[in-house]
Amino acid sequence: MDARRQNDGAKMNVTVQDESGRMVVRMAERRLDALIAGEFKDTVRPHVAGKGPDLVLDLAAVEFLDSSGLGAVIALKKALPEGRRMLLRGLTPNVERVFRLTRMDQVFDIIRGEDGSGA
Amino acid sequence: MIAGKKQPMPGSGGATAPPSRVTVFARGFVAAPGTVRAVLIEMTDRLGPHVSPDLLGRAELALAELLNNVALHGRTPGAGTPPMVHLSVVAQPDGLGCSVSDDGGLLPHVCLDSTGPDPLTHPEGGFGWFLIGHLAQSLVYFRERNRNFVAFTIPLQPPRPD
Repeated sequence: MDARRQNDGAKMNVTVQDESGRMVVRMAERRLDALIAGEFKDTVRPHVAGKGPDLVLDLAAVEFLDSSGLGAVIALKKALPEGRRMLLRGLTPNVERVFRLTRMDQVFDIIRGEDGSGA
Repeated sequence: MIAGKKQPMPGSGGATAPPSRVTVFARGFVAAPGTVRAVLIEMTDRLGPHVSPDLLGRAELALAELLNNVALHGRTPGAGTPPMVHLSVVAQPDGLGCSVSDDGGLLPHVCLDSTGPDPLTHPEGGFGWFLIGHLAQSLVYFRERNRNFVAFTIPLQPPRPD
């Protein structure tokens, strides 16, 4: 909990936490959609763009994701520096469906079953 | 049984019973990402007790893509107010019948034929119409008197095993 810090300034509920040497970015909003995709990307990008440990994007709280939200997640992956990985965790059924239908599940490393979340 | 008496609640577990009455959700609103979100939340609240979470999730995704497309691309920026949208969703025995009309610009319906962006190129957009085409059945689109009309059915079962 020590490393946990709430994102300042933005209203968006995103937390960044160290977890066994990995940086865990937790999206705590229930919807990652066209309304907030840009803000989400801008909020998380500073944590992604620099060198650092592998990063886990935890989407367990997200009940709905549309293609704008997907685009934001893809943009974050592209912002990673060489050699740094981003993994996804906690995909709920509605979120997992978008990754599967667009075949982006083949491009992302998706952690399944950890924390008992995900399908 | 004559309607009017208290009806037993549908079973909370197991398969969702077919709707015994027509369940409709209809709204008119100005297209913007905020109103689209609010209407979709209302829709899931309204229809949630009547259809399976999977069916509702597929309908919500298809409608989000269509409505956000209207909100974001339906009007050239600076060219007047955003489009006015009418949405109606009907719970039918074969799925959710959805119809959307708007007074925005011509929809890029040719994109419905898209096979979708190549995941390996890490595309950040272009998924919207691809998703609609995958999720929807019996999709029709026409334009009449400066309005777009789109109607489709989200079937009870996903169109392909997925």
